[in-house]
Amino acid sequence: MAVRRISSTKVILTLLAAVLLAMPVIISQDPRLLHTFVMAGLAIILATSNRLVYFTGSVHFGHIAFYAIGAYTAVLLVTKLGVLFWFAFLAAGVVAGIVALAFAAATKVKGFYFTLLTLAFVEVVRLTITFTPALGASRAMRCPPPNPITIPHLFTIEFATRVEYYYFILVLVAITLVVLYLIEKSQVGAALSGIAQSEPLAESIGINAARHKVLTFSICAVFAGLAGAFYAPYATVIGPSNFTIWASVIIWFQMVVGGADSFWGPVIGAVSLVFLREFMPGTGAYENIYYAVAVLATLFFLPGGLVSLPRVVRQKGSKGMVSLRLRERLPKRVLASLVARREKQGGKGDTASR
Amino acid sequence: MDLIIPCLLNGLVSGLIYALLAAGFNLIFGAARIVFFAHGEIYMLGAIGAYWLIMGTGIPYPLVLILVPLGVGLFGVVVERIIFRPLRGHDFPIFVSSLALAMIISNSALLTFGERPKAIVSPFTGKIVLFGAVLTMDRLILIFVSVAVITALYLFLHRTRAGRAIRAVSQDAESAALVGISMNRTNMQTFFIALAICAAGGVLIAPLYVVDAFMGTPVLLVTLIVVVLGGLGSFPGAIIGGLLLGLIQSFGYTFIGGVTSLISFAVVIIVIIFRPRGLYGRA
Repeated sequence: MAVRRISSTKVILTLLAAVLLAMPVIISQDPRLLHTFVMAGLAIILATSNRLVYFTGSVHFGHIAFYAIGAYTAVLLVTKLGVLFWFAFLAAGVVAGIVALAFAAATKVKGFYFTLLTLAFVEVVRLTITFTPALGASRAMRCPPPNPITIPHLFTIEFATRVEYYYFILVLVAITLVVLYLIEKSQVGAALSGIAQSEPLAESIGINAARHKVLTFSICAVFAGLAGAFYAPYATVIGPSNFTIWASVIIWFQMVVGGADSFWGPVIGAVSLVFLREFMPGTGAYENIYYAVAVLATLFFLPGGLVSLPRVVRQKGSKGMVSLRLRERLPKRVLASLVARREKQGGKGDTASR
Repeated sequence: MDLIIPCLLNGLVSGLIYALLAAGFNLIFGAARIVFFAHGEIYMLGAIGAYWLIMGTGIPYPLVLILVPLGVGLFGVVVERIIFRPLRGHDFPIFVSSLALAMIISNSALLTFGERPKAIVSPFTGKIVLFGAVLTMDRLILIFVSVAVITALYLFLHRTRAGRAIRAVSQDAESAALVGISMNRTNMQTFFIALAICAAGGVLIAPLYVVDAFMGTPVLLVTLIVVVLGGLGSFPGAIIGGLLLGLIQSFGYTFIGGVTSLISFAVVIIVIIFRPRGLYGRA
């Protein structure tokens, strides 16, 4: 039984990988869909890496600052120093990681103050950009496309259309997920989870909580930096208005909608919210309202996030999808009528009707 | 030297507004244990409400100063009832939902009010000259009203039964419940008072500057700075911190320019690292 279960997961993952690899062909290079996929990929990287910090028990609000640091490092290295994009790309990750290491090592605060601190850090980074002429101040900075990858006598990849960026982000997402997954499922991951549950208890069995947290924080920042370095050439221009606290808030919304307690939650949340944003009417203010409403709905009706949907449906199948917490709050009369209605519909086709 | 007095007066004006906002923020944080991230948007709501009432209906300003805070306060009661009460005790969902609320308010305002800033024709003319500095009538009213509101809030918290109940809940919610203080009622009152005060700040500031849908976020950040400086949850901290930041910003913008905002955040980071409880916060 257990063997079959594992192999079915593998089959699904292989199928998913195949579909994703063939996606540009499947959607016949529709630019809008490709763009949506690329943005979803970026969102996945940011949300999953931000979640690893949450996994250690800290609410980290400054992820977008490291994203900005990555983006600006790449742009500066490419445009001012003429460095090859691929070196600038790696350097962006390293710089973001080092800044995060210094930031986390200097600040040993916990809890709500940590959240406030990371929030202030986002503003510090954004305002520093705004007041530094070398960083373009409040004007946008241009970023040229990545240098072509040439394998002699075989092929040349030029970043001319969105298809190349699609494969670029696909590789980046795959690397991010594999690294983060391995960290979470390793001994280190167990230690981090222990720290989240009780720091003194974790320290009592010899886990250096402070060092683990600092390292996790900077590893996550590396991924944010790489994502930023990807975003700069993809968007062609970047400016301080890309990196506000609300951009950070949206990463959190994606985590919560997907389910911040599970590894796959942020992936699901990021993808579903990006697609929601792209395919609902209206832009700008409407997008933000969709996000906010989706988050409120999740918190109230599906506190475990979208990832908990199958479990909730299974557990409460015959009684409908009213989540546990809502059930406690609903007046008894309403609840009774809900259950009665479900029972009238019959217990067999329970979840299908929803 | 001629700049000193105007700087002091400007600092006093913005400092009093910051004090109002931070006092409300700390009230909610203290009594309800909610980090209310929609505070800046509530202030924006107050300013936009004032714009609509004054420019649309011509209701006299003193009445607007009562109606808008009343309306926004009732909005706060509703929000507390349908969003925060069901989530009570779950810190993280509360935190995220206050952000979602902020996002909904600001973007709805953007859709209905438009992107462009609009100015209220100030209902007041006249000005007085104080030590060679000109003080317009609307600033004078702002100073008087906000000082009155702060005094009233202080008296309410210390002299009335309801105010003492709120303070008791902020000190120790469990013991307060033991002696029969209803958490539901104090939370409701807290939200009403805090949001009404915050909206009053918006109404007071509206005739001075332009009103737009983006004015919430900078104010939220300023409130957070003040709250950290003064100490999270502290009433005197909010007042002193607000006035202090108002003066610092006023002198900073005049003498060193826009970098002042960056310096404020850097100071906050330093304060959090070295003295997280701020000036008046509890250890």
